[in-house]
Amino acid sequence: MTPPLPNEQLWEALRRMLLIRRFEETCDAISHEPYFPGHHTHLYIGQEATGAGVAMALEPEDVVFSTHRNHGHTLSRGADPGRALAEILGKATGYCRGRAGTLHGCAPELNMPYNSAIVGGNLPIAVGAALTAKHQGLSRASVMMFGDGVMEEGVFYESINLASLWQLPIILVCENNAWPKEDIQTSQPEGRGSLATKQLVNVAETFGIPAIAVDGADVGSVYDATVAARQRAVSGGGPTFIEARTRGWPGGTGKTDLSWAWGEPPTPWHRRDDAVLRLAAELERSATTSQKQLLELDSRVSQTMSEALQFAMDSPYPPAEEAYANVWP
Amino acid sequence: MVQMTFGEAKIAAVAQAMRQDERVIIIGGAAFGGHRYMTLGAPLVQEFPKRVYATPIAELGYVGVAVGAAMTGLRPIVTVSTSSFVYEAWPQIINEAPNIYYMTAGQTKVPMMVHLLTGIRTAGAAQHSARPQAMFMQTPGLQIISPATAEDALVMVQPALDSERPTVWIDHALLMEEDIRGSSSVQGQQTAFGKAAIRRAGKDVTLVTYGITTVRGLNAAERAAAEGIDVEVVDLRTLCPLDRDTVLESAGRTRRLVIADECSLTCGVSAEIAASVAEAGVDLAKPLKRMNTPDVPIPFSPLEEQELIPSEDKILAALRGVM
Repeated sequence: MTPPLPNEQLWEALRRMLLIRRFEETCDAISHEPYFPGHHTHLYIGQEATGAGVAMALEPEDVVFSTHRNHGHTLSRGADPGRALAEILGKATGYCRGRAGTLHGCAPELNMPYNSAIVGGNLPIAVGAALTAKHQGLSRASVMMFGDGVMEEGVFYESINLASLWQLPIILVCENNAWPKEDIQTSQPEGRGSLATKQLVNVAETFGIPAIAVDGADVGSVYDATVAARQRAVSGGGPTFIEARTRGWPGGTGKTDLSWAWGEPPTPWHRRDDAVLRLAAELERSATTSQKQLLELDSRVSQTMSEALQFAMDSPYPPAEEAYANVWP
Repeated sequence: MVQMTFGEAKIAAVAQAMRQDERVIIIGGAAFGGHRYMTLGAPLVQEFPKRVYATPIAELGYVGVAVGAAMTGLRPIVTVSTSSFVYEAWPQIINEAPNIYYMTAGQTKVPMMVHLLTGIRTAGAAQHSARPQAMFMQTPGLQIISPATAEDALVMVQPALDSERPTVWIDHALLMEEDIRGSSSVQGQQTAFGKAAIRRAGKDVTLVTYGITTVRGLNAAERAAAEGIDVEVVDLRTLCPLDRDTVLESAGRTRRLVIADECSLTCGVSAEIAASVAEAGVDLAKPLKRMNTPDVPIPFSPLEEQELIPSEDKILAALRGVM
């Protein structure tokens, strides 16, 4: 399939995806340090093309909701990596002054008003944002980024029923990051251990919601599906369900070397499923982009990330007495 | 003095709020009256047909929809009807709505109200007699109102909406019936939102009430007066904010205290009042009494049910008991 994105947009997609990759690698690296608060982070490695592809298809007025695995969503929406990392470290310069942390990170100023870390917690809330848009006649979409685990929760069914009944402008992006061994393009996977249905899109279609499954590691496919879904949403066509299929990062491979895109990747996952390497390889094969340009981009992004880490580390914690603030409007 | 029943007053208050602010919508089909007063909300549907959303049987889903609508520009009032159903929506009311303003460091507000018909309403059995208010009081970030009179129903809805706080309205299924017997417009004095009202001044004993126990408590106080006991009835009106000052001042003056509360005894609303009085060192002439529902699920059969309700008779007995 020819990517619908022109080359400069693919370049921008790669920039966002690389930023997410370097951000998440940083989180992974520092998560074992004593100054790292909380238990662990839920990383977005392997799903960068989904976050970037969705974000690039949206408009600033669209309202985006995420989950506990939100770093890639806020970054692809344009969040400053320093403030995003400061939030994860509980610092006063974070997007929520350290109140949200890794699990609940959001960026209200980027129209990401709140993140619930409860599986399914944000889904009906996103439907509510879509109700506001329809009720007030606003030309904007509500976007819910969620993992496949949400479909194991009862609230999923209540929420999509309401979204379909009321024909609300919502894009339901199901990030299925547990895709099994079979080819991602095949239509009949073996099924999952924790969900009785084999085809996630069938569930949405049963509720009358148009559904499409895409390769979540292919930024062009994700972008294309999201553009169509947004068009449907703002033209009164109601909700769309997008299943973005990715395979989970096996972990433990350290920092990604971008030259693996045209060299020797260390694992089959990097060869087949790594969204960043796939897009870099695609660009490298095109006539307009050189390996040097790609490595320079990576170098700039890595420099941005180093500065972001320094900013977050240097930022102060909110003072203890601030614990009593903002209980009430 | 308001010349309408409690039921009429609350519909009038919601209608007024909707006329003033087009962002106010109703989710849940305007079920302010529950199954006994199904048509109570009909005037709202008539006047605002496009602003009343009837919903599927999906409490968790539609309360969550209200949370999302609230944070993006609407002012939803959700009618859950019988309060037992609110347990289906618990994750959104307890774990999402009250945390959002705090977790976003004051950036995202959730201006919504959830209306619940609580209480032991006769023949509700254990699953239709819920009094969840004390559980809500354990949830920082939730405002809890409990108007007991028609006048308060009229004056408390708008400030609750104006506060932009997620608010639970603890209504009672029997308040409307109490009104029909004419006891709604008691001492209809205007009191500031968040402050308790002294519904009846007295010098011998303080009786703390809210919601349905205000109605029962005022009746009990009149009967006590005939026996020479002068009861001061303090109606809390809101459970959060909780006006401890008025309670402490009154109990400090009368030095006798009864708290009437339809919650189960353990960790009910009365427990917090009692703890506050103890902590403040109020010098009581006799130990305080809590008139609560015992720690028992509510039975269906009438004699058993009556046995458990904190009735007017039992409140009167408690008043006698502290003299």
